[in-house]
Amino acid sequence: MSSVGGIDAVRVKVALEENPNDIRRFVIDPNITTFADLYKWIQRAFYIKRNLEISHRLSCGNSLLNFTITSDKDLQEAVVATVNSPYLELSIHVTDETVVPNESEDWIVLDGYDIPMIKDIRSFGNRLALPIASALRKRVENTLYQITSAFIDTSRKSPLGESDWLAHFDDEGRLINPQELWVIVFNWGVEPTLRKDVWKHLLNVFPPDLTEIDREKYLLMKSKVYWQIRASWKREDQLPKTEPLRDMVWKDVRRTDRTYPYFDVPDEHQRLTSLFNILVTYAILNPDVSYAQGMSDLAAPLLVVMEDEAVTFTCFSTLMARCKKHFLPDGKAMSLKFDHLTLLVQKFDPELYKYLLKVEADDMFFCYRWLVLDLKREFQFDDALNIMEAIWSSLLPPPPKDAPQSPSGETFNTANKLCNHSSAVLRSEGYNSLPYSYQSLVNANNDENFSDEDEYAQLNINDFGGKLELVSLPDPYHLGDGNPFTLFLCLAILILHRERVFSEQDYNSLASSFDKKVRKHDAEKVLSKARQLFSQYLRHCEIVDNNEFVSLQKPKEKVKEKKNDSWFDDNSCEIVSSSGQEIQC
Amino acid sequence: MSYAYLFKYIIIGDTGVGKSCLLLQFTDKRFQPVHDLTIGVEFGARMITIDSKQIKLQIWDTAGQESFRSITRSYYRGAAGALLVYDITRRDTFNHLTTWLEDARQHSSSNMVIMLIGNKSDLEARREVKREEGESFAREHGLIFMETSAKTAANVEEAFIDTAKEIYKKIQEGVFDINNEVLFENWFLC
Repeated sequence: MSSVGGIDAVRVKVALEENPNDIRRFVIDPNITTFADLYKWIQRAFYIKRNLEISHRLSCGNSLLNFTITSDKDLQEAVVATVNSPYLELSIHVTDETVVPNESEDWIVLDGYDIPMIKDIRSFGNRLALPIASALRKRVENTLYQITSAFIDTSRKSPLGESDWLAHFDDEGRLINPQELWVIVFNWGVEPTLRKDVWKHLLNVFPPDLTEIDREKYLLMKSKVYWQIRASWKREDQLPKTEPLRDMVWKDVRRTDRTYPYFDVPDEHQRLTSLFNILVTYAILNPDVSYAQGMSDLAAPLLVVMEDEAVTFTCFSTLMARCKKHFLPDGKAMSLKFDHLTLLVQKFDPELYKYLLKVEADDMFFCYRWLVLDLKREFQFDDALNIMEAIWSSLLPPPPKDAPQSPSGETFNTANKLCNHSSAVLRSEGYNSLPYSYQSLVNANNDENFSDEDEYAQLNINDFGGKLELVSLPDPYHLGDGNPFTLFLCLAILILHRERVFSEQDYNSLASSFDKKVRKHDAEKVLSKARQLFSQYLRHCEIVDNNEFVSLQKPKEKVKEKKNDSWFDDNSCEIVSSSGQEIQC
Repeated sequence: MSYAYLFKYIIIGDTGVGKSCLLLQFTDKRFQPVHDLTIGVEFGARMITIDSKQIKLQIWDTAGQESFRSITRSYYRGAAGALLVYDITRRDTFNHLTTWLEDARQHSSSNMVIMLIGNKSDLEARREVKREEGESFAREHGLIFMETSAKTAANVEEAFIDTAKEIYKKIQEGVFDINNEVLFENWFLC
């Protein structure tokens, strides 16, 4: 069968014509699956020993068409015709004897529901020792390997595209295995045309497991609520109450991203009014944080992408659920981030850290804007969208409301995700410790920008034991208050500009030189460097606690067991001391 | 470039009064009608000459609305001069001066020279605060006063340089403790 361009995996749903509720779902790689393979698999899936007729069911407007599949060519055409559908829907008619399925477990591969999870692959391998033709097993393994490698493909260069995206919805439009998608987004971004859909999921706008119809209803409901609240503060008798707030917001809206074409419009333009309405409504609904400068910077990209005031408001609210801490007067979240960034510099580039110490910039206050705005202002607007996506994709959707929370709330989720996608991918690749997705990332990003000789490219534990006071880093649940990647973006900028830092004689000129780089940083370089550093950090976490992510899988116990993230410290000590270095803990 | 003194300034005042525009006009000699709102603090520097001595001005341009107070306090550390800015076309920005002044006095050296600036003097038609009111407020609180326009550059040089002159005068008079490293980070004649 010739190659079916660009399609790596096709989800197949097969129903018995005689009993449409009897369904099997599985995945094929159209590039290697022949009609004979498909025929054989379906026979086995339904325990049918005799002849079949396979037909492709294709919705065309309101009518349903059936095309009989009898050859590789037919199959290929069916795959191509379904490229925009969640499934290749097949119907089978048994022309002979049918064997009723029994409850035994001797069929593993094709009786599962939905796309095979990466984490299932190893167990699949073990269980497959049951009587199944080895050729079939090999073929299926190949198919599964190809599917999984789509998520860890080091040679992949393209952002998340429509086919990847659509393949991750079930027949009712439920998003399946979003983590796999977020790995792609983290590494390669999102096609701009898909952002409107993808961002809503990245930002956790929807409760989990909603069907497409339910999501539409949910968004509609949210929008209705928004319009009602908006109408209530816009009432004549209510307006005086919000005058100072509205003045403040308007002052900032009219100077937010006005050089970007979308906002390069007269002050009276609807786009500015929308941004204003969103921020005022948010402030009224969230009196604890109200409005603070910087929020307009965060809301503007959402409006540009969503192009809908109410939907933008919903997205902004979920984004702010995480970011509002940046704006609280107690400054706790910001203090923590400054501290952690200092630690990272200390750990990853001791020389740079020493210099910052010398010019009294080790408090990292000059990175304030970077941290408050998740670096949105440090890049050209369009590049900032890539940066934001990368940050969001490194976070995990919040757990259901009744799920237990770690002491630091969201941090639990982040690490959970790291754990999920890295350890899962790892195992599928036979790695025991390193997060393969990140390792491949390092390889993928080991391009012309960076050489292996970079003195900071390798995290050398011995260096820290011998020359410097031992630095302990918080685990990924706690680093950066549960958003570690933003810190690595900051670290990447600092390291990429370390020569510039060394050339500045004092704090002021150092800070001033970074201010001059506003909107001028190279997003690709920074992202690439940040991913590389992040992967080193994760790998180091693994070295420290190499028991297959035990620490990551049991964050709650860890937190209870050891305060001050001492696990890193303790284990670093072990490693360093085993190399015979004198260390002080 | 070598310099005899290093003075740190801080620019404070309500949001949107033109603090960043004043700095840009002073350091880059240009005006940007729509300026990004400042998050946290932004930094500028320029060399000036007083009494044939090179003086480097380090200028910290702060956000009008600061949600993180602990960082604000660090702004004042070591500041020898402050530019307290209001907008002559917005009465509320003038009304808030007392609060800003209290904040400045609380977090800075008592010797810090404060220049009160009524900005946007080019918008005479929209004036809400009379010049005399500014003068009177300054007199009452022991500040230097000037009306400026970051747009036309009127009095911008003077505002920054006169503040430096006042600091310099205080050094000559021995009012400032020159051993106080907080105020003068560089005390070498080069």
